[in-house]
Amino acid sequence: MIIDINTSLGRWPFQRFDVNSAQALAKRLRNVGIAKALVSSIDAVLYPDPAPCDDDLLKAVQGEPLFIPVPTVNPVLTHWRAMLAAQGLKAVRIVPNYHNYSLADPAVAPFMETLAVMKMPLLIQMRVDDERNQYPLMKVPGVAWKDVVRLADAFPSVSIVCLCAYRGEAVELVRQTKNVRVDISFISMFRTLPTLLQQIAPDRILFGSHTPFFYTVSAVMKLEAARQMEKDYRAVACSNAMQLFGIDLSKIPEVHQG
Amino acid sequence: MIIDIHTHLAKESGTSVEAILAEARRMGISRLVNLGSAPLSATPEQVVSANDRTLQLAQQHSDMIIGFCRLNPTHEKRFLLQEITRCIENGNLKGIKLSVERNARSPQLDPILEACARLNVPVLYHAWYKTIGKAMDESTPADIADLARRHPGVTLIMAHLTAGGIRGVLDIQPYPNVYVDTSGSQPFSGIIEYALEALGAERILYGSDMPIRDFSCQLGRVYGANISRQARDRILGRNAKELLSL
Repeated sequence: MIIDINTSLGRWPFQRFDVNSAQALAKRLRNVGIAKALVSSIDAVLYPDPAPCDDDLLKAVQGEPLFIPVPTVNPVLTHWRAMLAAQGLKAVRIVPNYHNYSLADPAVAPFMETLAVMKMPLLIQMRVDDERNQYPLMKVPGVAWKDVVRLADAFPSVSIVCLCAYRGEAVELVRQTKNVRVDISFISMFRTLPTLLQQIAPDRILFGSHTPFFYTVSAVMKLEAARQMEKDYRAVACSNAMQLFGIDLSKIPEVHQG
Repeated sequence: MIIDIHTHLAKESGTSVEAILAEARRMGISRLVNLGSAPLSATPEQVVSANDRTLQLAQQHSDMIIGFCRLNPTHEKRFLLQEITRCIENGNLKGIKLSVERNARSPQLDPILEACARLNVPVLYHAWYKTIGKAMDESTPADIADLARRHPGVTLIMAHLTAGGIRGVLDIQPYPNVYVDTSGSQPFSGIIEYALEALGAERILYGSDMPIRDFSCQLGRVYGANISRQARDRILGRNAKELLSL
């Protein structure tokens, strides 16, 4: 079974997705063996207030047991505390580059202190797309990995997962911190996962597909290349996510790949 | 049959040819087109050295490796034509690879393309719509389209479908002598389907850009696309098989 920690639902002006509903997205993920997925709102990346987008996401995925909705929070806005008050949160996501603040912004520290008290994992969206291919009038650089290292050092009890980090960034993020993990969505090289496992401990890598921006199968095939490394495969595929987000897969019926 | 039209069996990558071939077999890939590797703005000596290696690998692994001749179009015409004769007419290489040293609109390309027309071999040309990090003379898909218009008798393979994007597909759409390979950037969804609709399955070739990229991830783009089995088979190998007369 696979837990996908990097999926989204919504609309993005620069791509047309063929999965535009929670049901279609769930079907896409189940078809390739994904049993649980953390899902965030795409609309929350660009809309000035992520709260209504998170509400829309919650309504959209209600009743679909595959999904664990993850709110997108902007700690520079005044109402982030209210957004963290929702019941049953497993993680929160921030998108500093699109929300136009630095991780060194004074507003970030109280947010991190609250996450530490709540023992709430933090997902940092390093980027949404390849900066080289962005629309020329909307250039948004990726989050600087060194800023994440400084944040992680300042708040060592907060577990941070960087989504969509490149390989070089991922290796440095893990080597220079104790509390940062990475997903595999943007990492690609010859035998991606077996090679990455030579550079990073398996407990710091999680399966993330970046669906629907990316073809889900690409991430699954990267994972499958490490099938022979049974213990590491399981760590990346699901057990790291189970432990970090408190997910119980025993309650999930067997997923059949289509 | 899966044929990867875009690989670089580069010494500098640190990955052995044997390891790459073993991984290709494991992924069901039966032939690789090796585009070689040379530094940007390579000297004639560096070009010769890179092509020597490509010739050697194509000979040693003739069951799996097909070589393309790498050229730097800024070199003298006499040297360019000599290298084409050495590697293609007298050697075992099956096409030409051009990178970012000279833009596809440059007349300096013309003698190379004229030789390709005479020898009936394709040119694989790097192209990208880059918002940042563009090399000075790097070609865009519109530049490739211009080259295709000037040389309608030459088959061009425009590299990096995902990097040229939708605009890139539209640029080359009117030129039936241009194919596109599926490599470039990340496995962004929807672009294979878009290219299929605009160009037809016959003009799309699977390419990985390995070892910068991974066979598995790149094949996942084609397996993950919502396309027919027939179209998938064409993209993965049948088109390349016909194009390279294998």
